[in-house]
Amino acid sequence: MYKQNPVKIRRVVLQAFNEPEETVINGRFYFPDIPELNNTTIVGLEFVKGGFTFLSDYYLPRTNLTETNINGNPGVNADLTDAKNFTVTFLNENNNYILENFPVVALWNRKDGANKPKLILPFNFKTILRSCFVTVQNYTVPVRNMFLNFNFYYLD
Amino acid sequence: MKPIVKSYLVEVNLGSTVPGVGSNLLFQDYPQLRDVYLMSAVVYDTNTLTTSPAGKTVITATGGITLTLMDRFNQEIIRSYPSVDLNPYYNAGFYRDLRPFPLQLTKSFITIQSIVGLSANESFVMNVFYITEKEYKAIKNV
Repeated sequence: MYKQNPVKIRRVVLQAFNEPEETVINGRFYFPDIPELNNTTIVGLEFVKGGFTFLSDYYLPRTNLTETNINGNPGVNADLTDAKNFTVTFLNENNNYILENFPVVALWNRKDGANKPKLILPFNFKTILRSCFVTVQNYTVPVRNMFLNFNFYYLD
Repeated sequence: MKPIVKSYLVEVNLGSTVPGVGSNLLFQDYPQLRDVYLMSAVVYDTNTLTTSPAGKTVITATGGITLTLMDRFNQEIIRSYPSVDLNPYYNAGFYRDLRPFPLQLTKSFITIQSIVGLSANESFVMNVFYITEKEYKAIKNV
């Protein structure tokens, strides 16, 4: 009998600033260390945008995000306008670059326009999350206290 | 869509003046993309990314640009492909699956078919989804 490997989901929140009152600056912002994601196979990855939205904007989970007090810190979730300034880079367990400067908005699970399908880009790689980072490509935008939310879909 | 195994964001800068219609602009050499097999190519405009990795403004509209991709044997596997058709933003988020071929990026180029919407010093950005030769040999008979 075919046994399906269950896909697990892990939300990862990354803060893209150094100090709570700082504006966003040029450079790399590393992901936190999440041991449960290390050396698992990442099969899907999505960016969850902040800002006012309808529940139907989300595919999974169908919970709205508050714009403040994420992880106990004051801040806002990056909306699409902010996220267009970021790319994300992933390294594998051997520290080789596998996804290099992948635009964050390209990972958004919903595309503009009515009746467009919601999809999560399929991936197939293993990584050590603490060595991966988000790069600010356009640091002239006056955004402060910004959080980026990602959903990782993975197999054990 | 096949899963994305590896990707690399490459760019072509238009230069200090907007190239004329019919100009071919070659991709530069990215050492990481030597001896790789192309799985898919995705093009972005400012709806997805504002600034390229080189710090240049991304092209607002890629409607006047076509893409030609060469393989290792100097064959034009993809010839004058409309770049908008490779932008997931206009394709409900989907990207095209290609039959993998050995990409030769340094001989691949974009062609300016129309200068409408283009400005000097902007960059054309393309995300290359690829696998290594070793990975290709492992899957080619699947």
